[in-house]
Parts: sequence; C-alpha cells; structure tokens
Amino acid sequence: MNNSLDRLIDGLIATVRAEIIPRLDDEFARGQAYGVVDILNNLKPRIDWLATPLVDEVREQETLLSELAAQFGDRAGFPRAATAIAQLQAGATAHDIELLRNSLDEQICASIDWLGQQRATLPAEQIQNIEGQLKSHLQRQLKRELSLTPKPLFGEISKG
Amino acid sequence: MSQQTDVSTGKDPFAEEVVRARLVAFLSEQNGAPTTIEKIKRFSVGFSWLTYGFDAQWRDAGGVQNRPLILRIGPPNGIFGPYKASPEFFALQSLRDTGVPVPQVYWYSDAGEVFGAPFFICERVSGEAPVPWVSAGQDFGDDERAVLAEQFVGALAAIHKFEWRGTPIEASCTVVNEHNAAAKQIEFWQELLARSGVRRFPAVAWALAWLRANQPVAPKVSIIHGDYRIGNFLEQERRITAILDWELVHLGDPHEDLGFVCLRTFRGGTPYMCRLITREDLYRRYAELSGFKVDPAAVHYYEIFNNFKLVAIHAAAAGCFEAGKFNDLRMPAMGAQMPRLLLQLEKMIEGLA
Repeated sequence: MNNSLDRLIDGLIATVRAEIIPRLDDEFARGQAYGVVDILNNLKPRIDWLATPLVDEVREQETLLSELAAQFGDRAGFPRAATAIAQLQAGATAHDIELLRNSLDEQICASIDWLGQQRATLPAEQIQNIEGQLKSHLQRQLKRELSLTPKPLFGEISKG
Repeated sequence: MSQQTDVSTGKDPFAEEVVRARLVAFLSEQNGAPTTIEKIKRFSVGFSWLTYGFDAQWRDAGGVQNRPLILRIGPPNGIFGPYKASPEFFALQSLRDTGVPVPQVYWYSDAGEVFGAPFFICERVSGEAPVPWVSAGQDFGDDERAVLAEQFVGALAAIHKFEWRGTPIEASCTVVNEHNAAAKQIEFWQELLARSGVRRFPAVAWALAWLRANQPVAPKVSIIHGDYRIGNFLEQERRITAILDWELVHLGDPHEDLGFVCLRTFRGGTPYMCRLITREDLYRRYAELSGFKVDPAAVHYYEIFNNFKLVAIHAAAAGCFEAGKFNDLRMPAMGAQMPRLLLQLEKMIEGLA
C-alpha cells in the first residue's frame, strides 16, 4: 500500500459519513453504515501492517546492498549504506520496519542512479552481473507486493 | 462534506451553488445581458479538473439563446496542480476546424478572479464515454469496433498533422525540438512524482535510468494530446462526437500518443489497442492518414515512458489523498495498484511484455 493505515481508515470513515450515509434511504442500510464507522474507529488504535513481508523485504535489501558495496564500495561517489536491520530495537513496530524498508529502498535507488552515471567507466561484465542481481531483486520485490494486491475494481469504481 | 471541502473551514469553494452564482455574474457580464443557469451538475469524473454541466439562457439581438455548456475548473488541490487553462483552451480552439472532433470553446482564464482557480467554458457535446474496463460480453461488436477505430485513428493523425507553429499553442505550451522532446517529458513527470511525497521505488529509478539512456529523436514535433485513449472520447451512434480531457496537451514526439494508445492497461483484456484496433492495423492506418511511417521501436520506448507516467499519476493520487487534499477513495485504490504497473514497467524494459 502507498498510503498510511491511519489515513486510509480516516478516509474510509469520512467517505462513509459524508458520501454514503446521506445517500442511503433504507434505515437498516444506514445503521449498518454507522456500524462500519464504529468498527473502523475501534480498529484504528489496534492494528498495524503485517510485519513479516516487510522483514523479508528488508533482509533482501540488505543482501543486495552488501553485494553492491562489496563491488563498488571503494569507488568515489558510491552511495554508502547507512542503516541495517540489526539496528531495529526489540519490539519494533511494523511502522518502524516500514521506515527502514523505505530508507533502504532510497539507498538502492541512489545506487541505480550512480550506476547509470558510471556505466561507461565500469567493466561491461561487472555491469551485466550487477544489473542481473538488481533485476532479480526488483522482480522479487514487486512480485511479493503483487501477491498482496487483489485485482482492481476500477470498472465498478468508475461506473458505480 | 464533499471531495473539495476545505477541512479547516468545512466549506466547499466549488460547491454547485457557489459555482452557479459566479457563473451567473460572469456570463451576464460576458453576454451583456442577464443570464440564468439551470441544471448545474458537478460530474464525479477525473481526479484533476472539476467538471460541471449546465444550461445557460440569455436574450440578445437574435432572440433567446439557450446553450448546454461545460465548465472545467483546475482546483488548487488537483493532482497536476497548479493548473493553466490556456493550453487546453487554445488546443481546442485551434483544432476546431481540422477534422478533430472537439467541443467549441468560449471563455477561459488562467487566473482565479472568477472561480478562485483557472477555468474554461465550452460546448456540452452529446455522447457516452466507453470505459477501458469491461466485463465479458460487454465489449464492442466487430462492426462497431471497426467504425470507431477508423475515427479514433483518424482524429489522432489529424492532431499530429496540425501545423501548430504560428498558432496560440506555440505561446501557451513549452516549445521543444526533435532532440529534447523525450527529455522534457521525463523531467516533467519525474518532478510530479517527486512532488507526490510517495516513497522512492527502485523499479522507478531503474526505469528512469533506462528512459534517459534510450531517448529517441522525434521524427517531428506535434501537438500531443497526452491522454489519448478509450475513456477520453464521447461516442454516439457509432460516431466519435468529441475527443476530451486535453489537460495534458503539450508539444512532443507523435510516437508518445501512439505509445499511450498501446498501453496494456487500456486494452480491457482484449487483443485490441484501446479495445479498438490491433497494433498492426493501428500502425498501418495511422501511417496512411498521418503521412509518416511509424517507428515500432519509438512506440515501444513511449509505451515504457507512458507506463512510467501512469506510475507517476498513481503516486500523485496516493500523495494527494495522504496529504488530505482529497478524500476520494479512488485515489488510494490507484496507489494500491502501483506494484502491478511497476512490474509491467520492468517486464517492458526487459522486452518480456
């Protein structure tokens, strides 16, 4: 997901209150809609994202960044990794892991930017090798995300 | 509370009753006669410009005038804001008599003195907009598809053939040349993506590196619609009555629009580009009508670019929602689908899709 859990719940509640309830003529349906608001209000202080996929992702990011650092770490201008999963405190929340994931993704992005700029100066074989690792990483990352993403209901959303 | 309600004041500056009062004052002044506004309705389409339909009536030397009109307002919180109305207005005005079905435009402003935001007013054209997403059995029949495809490709070729130099479009759009057309678009969308506030994705960095390294030279610089697809035209009795949604109009490489037409996301699960035409027939018929040969490699480049552009749009929607600028659940729903687009992008770069 690319929105925070709190904002999503606030948005769901606001939509049910402002856009759905005023348009419902049936008393029972209206009551059920208020029930949705009530449950969402109760869920908000109790839930967080699932941590397991985030931890899996962070471990893979660290492996990739270690490999990149081993190959290019002594090169001028190469962006150095600054964080690691070991830095997470015991009892870290999913939000803490999410922030770490985002930070490691920033570093991978910076490495890709650097590789793009240095491409002409690096041995072709080394480029090919690292690009292969990057591609594998991207595919795993995206497939993991996609496994958690149901097909969109854009047709229904656009037509009502 | 509506989607445009200001959270701090609880008021919607673009509510129908507010807009109606301003329309009455503005059109009465423009028409030099008291003008009434009836049947005003804000449509729930798009995430960007606000669209209102209404009937305006006034009396002049020719008698009672009754016009069905459309008002479009670019709100300050829209995903592509800040907006200007002039590029869309001048594109529609310039293309009016060129064979491209476009609504007649009447008034515009890039300032906020009338509605608090840029706006333009145009003719309300009859027709329905077929959507890209359909269920089994709801697709076009073969005859209908062929008839619509011919008009769809014909209008695109006419847009690209139009000589924009010396028209107001030249002053209202950023002028590019054959060598920097792709770079300017990459820059524009990269900036929008950065402004979205959404986190960085390695797949996007990967795509940007590829896009920068593989920019094609444009065969010519044309008007580019920027959002040319099924869903952005009106159709009535097998006739395309208007090409809509020109808010992304700019100058660039005509392959860019062709790449947009060919995006998988608009095929509705069919083998047809925009549910209308095979890729081979699109290239052939477009070349016949436009007078220049399509370069499949350049279309492929712009399919990748346009997929990146969709990623930026989805990110902007998620970012707008997160910032509380809109409370439209279509926006986080778009944000949630970014992995699908990013995987598609990665596969396209690999030549696997």
